Amino acid sequence: MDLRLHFLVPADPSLLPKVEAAVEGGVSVVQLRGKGSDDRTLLRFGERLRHLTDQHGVSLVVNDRPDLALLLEADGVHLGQSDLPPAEVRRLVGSSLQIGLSTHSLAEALAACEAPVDYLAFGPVFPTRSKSDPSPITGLRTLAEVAQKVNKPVVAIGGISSANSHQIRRAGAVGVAVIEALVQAPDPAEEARAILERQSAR
Amino acid sequence: MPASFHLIVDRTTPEKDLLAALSGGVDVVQLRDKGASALDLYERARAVLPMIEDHGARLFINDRLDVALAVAAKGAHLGGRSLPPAVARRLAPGLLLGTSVHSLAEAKNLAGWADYLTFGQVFPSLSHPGQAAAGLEGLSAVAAAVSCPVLAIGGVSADNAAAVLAAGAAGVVVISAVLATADVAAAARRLRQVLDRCPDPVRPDPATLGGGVSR
Repeated sequence: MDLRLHFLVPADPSLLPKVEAAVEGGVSVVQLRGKGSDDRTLLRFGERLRHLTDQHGVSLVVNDRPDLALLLEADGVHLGQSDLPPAEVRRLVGSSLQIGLSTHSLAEALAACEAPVDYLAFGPVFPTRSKSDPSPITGLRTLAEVAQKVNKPVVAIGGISSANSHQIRRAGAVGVAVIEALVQAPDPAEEARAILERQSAR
Repeated sequence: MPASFHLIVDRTTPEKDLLAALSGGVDVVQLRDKGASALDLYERARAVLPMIEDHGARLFINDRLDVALAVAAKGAHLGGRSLPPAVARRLAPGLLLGTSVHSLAEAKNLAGWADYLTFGQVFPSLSHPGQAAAGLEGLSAVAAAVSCPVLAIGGVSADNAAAVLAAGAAGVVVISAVLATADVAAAARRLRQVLDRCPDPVRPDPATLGGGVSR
């Protein structure tokens, strides 16, 4: 899975044009986040995302729900600290799906190294407006420490946009995960391209 | 096979009450907690599963098919906001699947996909105040129209269980009739006795049958 740029998409069908534009701009993983949504809505929206991601040859990951990930034939499932334990999810999805795990401190990141997960998300690195993750800001220094100490790929999350993505690669993360930067951008394709360009610039 | 007795519990149900209800003759414990995270639900399910199995009863998980699979529950109960039973079946062919219906039309639509239906509310209930009750006539119309077992929910208790079974229900689903009582074990036992004294249902609830679905 190409972990460079994740777009975390709430289950809102009106966002589909933005998702498509962002994928054209280089988003490599679309993550469906449906907490609080009706499962039937999630399933329908997820099917549209699967279609879109298949057409563009990018990955689909489902947040929190291994059952939906399997039903949608997603490429992965992303877990938070209060979701099902990674070992149980691995048993449910087998080895063909990738598992990501959100972490918010060095201790959580180190614990995740022992879990059967393929990559870690770490953050929030910068202040963020989305209220979904109320954890304290970790900053770039802790991100760098985590990236150095863990033996799995680290994706940075929290307040990332084209304005700061150049700092992420330097800190050792292989990719970034964004919500607001792409949802709010007047031109999500351009914003995705800009995030990636600055992320890969040394 | 006598009529079945399902009890809905959540994270806050004291273990001593669950134990008392199990000793009184509950067949199926449905763990339902909409506000719980998957981890909370998983941990609670793992905590109560041994006592449920020790009593020869079965654990069902409400809504979350993944949690039901993870804890090796016997079944999942799917509500109107959950995965449709036909979709859930593809993923979990080994689980018994129940689903909630509230009208005859819904019952006819879903009967072919579920192992059992719950229909209600039959009587006015504490957990859904203000919701219209379908009454015994509504229950009996649904039970007559579908080929899968129908369980009655909503205001069902030992006082009306015999009438509910006579209307065609294969069992009952209760919360407060057992848990909101001073003596949970006695309330459960009383309901169990009423169910056992009634003629066995024509279409028994598969959740009570010997092996159930082989897993």
